Amino acid sequence: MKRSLTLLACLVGALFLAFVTTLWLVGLPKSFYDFNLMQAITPVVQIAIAVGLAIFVNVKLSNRSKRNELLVSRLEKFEGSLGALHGLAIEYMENKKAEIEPKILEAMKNLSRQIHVLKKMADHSDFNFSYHPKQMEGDFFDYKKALTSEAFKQADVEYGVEAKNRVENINRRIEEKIILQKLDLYR
Amino acid sequence: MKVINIARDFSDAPGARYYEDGPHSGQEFRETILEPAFLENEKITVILDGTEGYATSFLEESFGGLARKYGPKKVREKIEFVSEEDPLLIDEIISYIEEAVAA
Repeated sequence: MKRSLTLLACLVGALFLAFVTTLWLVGLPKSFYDFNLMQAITPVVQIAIAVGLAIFVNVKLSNRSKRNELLVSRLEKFEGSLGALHGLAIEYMENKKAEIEPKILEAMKNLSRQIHVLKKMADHSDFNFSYHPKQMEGDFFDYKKALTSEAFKQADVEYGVEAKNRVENINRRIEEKIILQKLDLYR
Repeated sequence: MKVINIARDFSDAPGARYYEDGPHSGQEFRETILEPAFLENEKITVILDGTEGYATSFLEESFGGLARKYGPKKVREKIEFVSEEDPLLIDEIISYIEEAVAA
């Protein structure tokens, strides 16, 4: 940024000198290019400020856009993993097969790692989250509790309608919040 | 200081809550490993890595159950957790220890 402004100032100065030299070489009277220094400098400074400001705003917007892209990509990864976990959860709640249990637990570990990354990103970003990763963590614990509190790993116990609805509702709640968060980032 | 590595000292596939729920339950872990170590040692380090993962029922019965018996404060003071594989697991366990007050 600083380098760009220096280059710009040098360029403007060089153009000005070239202009005066050319007028002198073609033999125009001194009165033609004799000027008030302040009158000449003012528009140059104004142009430099305008260009500098444009560069500054452009850099800021570009950084914000990159940050938002990064956040959206992490949220999309989280959405995909949540979808995979919920698919396993539905399958397991309908038909309790022991071989699905480690897959569910692995999917939960994966989701936990992703929330951890989002929490770190929130700590290092000035973005105002509408769905803060801390809330995401709380919702994830609720989901895990609903799915693995009672019937999980118990061959003789089936999931009741209430338990299934709870898992479904928490999943929907998280999905909705993620979508709203993404909309905020696209704004 | 005692170190309990759940995968090595108990099971790499921890189960559900009670004995009757199936093998490697939270109750079994608490009664055979965690509680004796808790009573005999000033400090315990519990290594959580190396398992396939933990059901809420297992964690709540193991650590929440211990907190219901000896109080959350003492449990928090005595036990230190290590989890590299699941970064939110320690916060989750602490929440069960803290919630055990109301139980």
